[in-house]
Amino acid sequence: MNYLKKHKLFTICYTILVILSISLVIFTYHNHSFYKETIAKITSTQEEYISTDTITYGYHEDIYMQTIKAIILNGSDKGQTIIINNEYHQGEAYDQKYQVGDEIFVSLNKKNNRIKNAHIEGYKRDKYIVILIVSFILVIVLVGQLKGFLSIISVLLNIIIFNCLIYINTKGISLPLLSFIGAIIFTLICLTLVSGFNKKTLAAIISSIVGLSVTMLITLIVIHFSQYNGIRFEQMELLTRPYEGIFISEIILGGLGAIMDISISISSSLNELIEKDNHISLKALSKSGINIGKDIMSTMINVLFFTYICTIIPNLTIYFRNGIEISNLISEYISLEMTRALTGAIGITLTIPIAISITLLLYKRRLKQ
Amino acid sequence: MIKILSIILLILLLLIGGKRGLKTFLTIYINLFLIFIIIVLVGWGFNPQIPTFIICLIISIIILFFLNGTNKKTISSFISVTILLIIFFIITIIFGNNIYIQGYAEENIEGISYVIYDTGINMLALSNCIIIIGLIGNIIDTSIAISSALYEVSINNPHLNIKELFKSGMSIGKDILGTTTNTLFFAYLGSCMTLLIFFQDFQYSLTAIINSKIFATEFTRIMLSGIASFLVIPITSIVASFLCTINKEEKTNEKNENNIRRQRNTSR
Repeated sequence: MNYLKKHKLFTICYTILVILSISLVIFTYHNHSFYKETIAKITSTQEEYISTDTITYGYHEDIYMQTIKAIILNGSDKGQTIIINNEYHQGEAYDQKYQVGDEIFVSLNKKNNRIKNAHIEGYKRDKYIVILIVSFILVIVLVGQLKGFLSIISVLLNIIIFNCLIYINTKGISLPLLSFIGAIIFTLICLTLVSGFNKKTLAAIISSIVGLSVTMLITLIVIHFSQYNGIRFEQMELLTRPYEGIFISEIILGGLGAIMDISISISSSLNELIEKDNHISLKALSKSGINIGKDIMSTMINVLFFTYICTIIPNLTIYFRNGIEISNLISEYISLEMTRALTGAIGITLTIPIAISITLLLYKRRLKQ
Repeated sequence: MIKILSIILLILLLLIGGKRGLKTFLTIYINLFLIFIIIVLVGWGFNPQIPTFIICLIISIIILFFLNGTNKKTISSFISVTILLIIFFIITIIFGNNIYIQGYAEENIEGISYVIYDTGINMLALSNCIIIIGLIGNIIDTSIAISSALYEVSINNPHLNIKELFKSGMSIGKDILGTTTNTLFFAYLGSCMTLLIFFQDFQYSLTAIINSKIFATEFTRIMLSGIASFLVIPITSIVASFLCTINKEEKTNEKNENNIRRQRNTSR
């Protein structure tokens, strides 16, 4: 009976959520009047072949000119039709071909209140971003129900805290220090939201913080001795400030999730074992702790690896096509991502014994009774 | 620096994981090698999608069967990962065609001026493949967690039918979901921090951020891999509970047959 009631309540809440999401998506499809920038919708396109670009390494790309007719959707020129020229390469590495129905930001060049010519400023992506957010929320709540909802809240809280940290950083406090303080706050919030306020959560929180600190210590020592030897900061060059500090903060926060995951898994399963059998020996406990750790460790390390490494694939293919040798690619160009993945992996492995010993330390008194 | 970190990792893995630690260490480098195969194949002019799909299957075979052994748990995980890969190939193709996140944003390209970006590679297909490679790790992780927990449940409670097993799979999934979200969130926060600080430094407005290509690229990757690792929970629950119950029926059939044979023998 209780279950049925709960089920019904969930169905009602979920239906409301679905309706809200759909209306949000519909809103972003029609939000042109809220933008200050001029938005135009493409009504027809025409492609024309211009030339073929041949690159020194034997690859070639066709260049096309696209004549786009578009209708302005907002602002004082609403309803007017404009014609825009768009040049694009066949590979679309940094330019692109537009399709009929696409909405684009345009800048208008006016003379005597008449549009002389127009230029594409960008593509309107907000509706797709909203679709992504909405489907993410719908899927997580459908699968996880209340727990899914709590995860969304914890993610939102984390984003807010992170923004505060970046804001404080502009006041002059160093970013690595802030990230470390942030990491402690993040751990407190995430773990209490995931597994409630109890002893196993306390054990997990302490072991995450200790694990993170030890990992950072090791990384800082390695950095101190190697002086970023062999690391290329190419992908961070879009920043105008020194990026070493940001890199360290990235390492601190990047591995944090995995470290928390390992600590909570170990502390909660050890808690389970102790609850089942009060007289279980410390040795048996630490052995099964190690076994649990081994099981999670390997796939977890792979999660971090793929999450980081996939971002550099386009760069590497481009470099490969530019004639840079594979051995160079391996030794130099993946260094930044590999450093992140490796420090994360070190964090994961180190946290296993740390989490076991801290959990056992906290439960020691209870075991003796 | 990478060498030193690798050595530290190897020592730690050997100390804590023993043989399994060594396997894990090897897997990292095998996977790196496989990703380089994708790069070389794409560099030679292959369409990125086909090699990516095959390599993703090989990666999941390595992580599942080499690291975790061949058994019912890994087989059901492999099936569900394959199903999910096919689903997400279709989703990324449809989605990538509309959101235009192929290639590079202007912000990215300014820094590196010594390479030529027009190299004839289909960047749209490549960007779809990157999304897939980014999410393969976490779907395997979630899938193996669920299938092995379900397997334990089915061994301890042999009388459970498919529906009950599926239900317990989902409740295990709920427990994993929170920590998976955290792992992913922080991993992506770590890799996007440069970008967030960049937006802060250059004072991008919220609408400018949302509509920019550089943000959309990262955001699509994050959201799709999140969705994938949630969707893998019900899929693995279905496949694993199906596999667990199917073999049980076979076993009971075998038992029945054996009983019949015995009866025949005794009657003779």
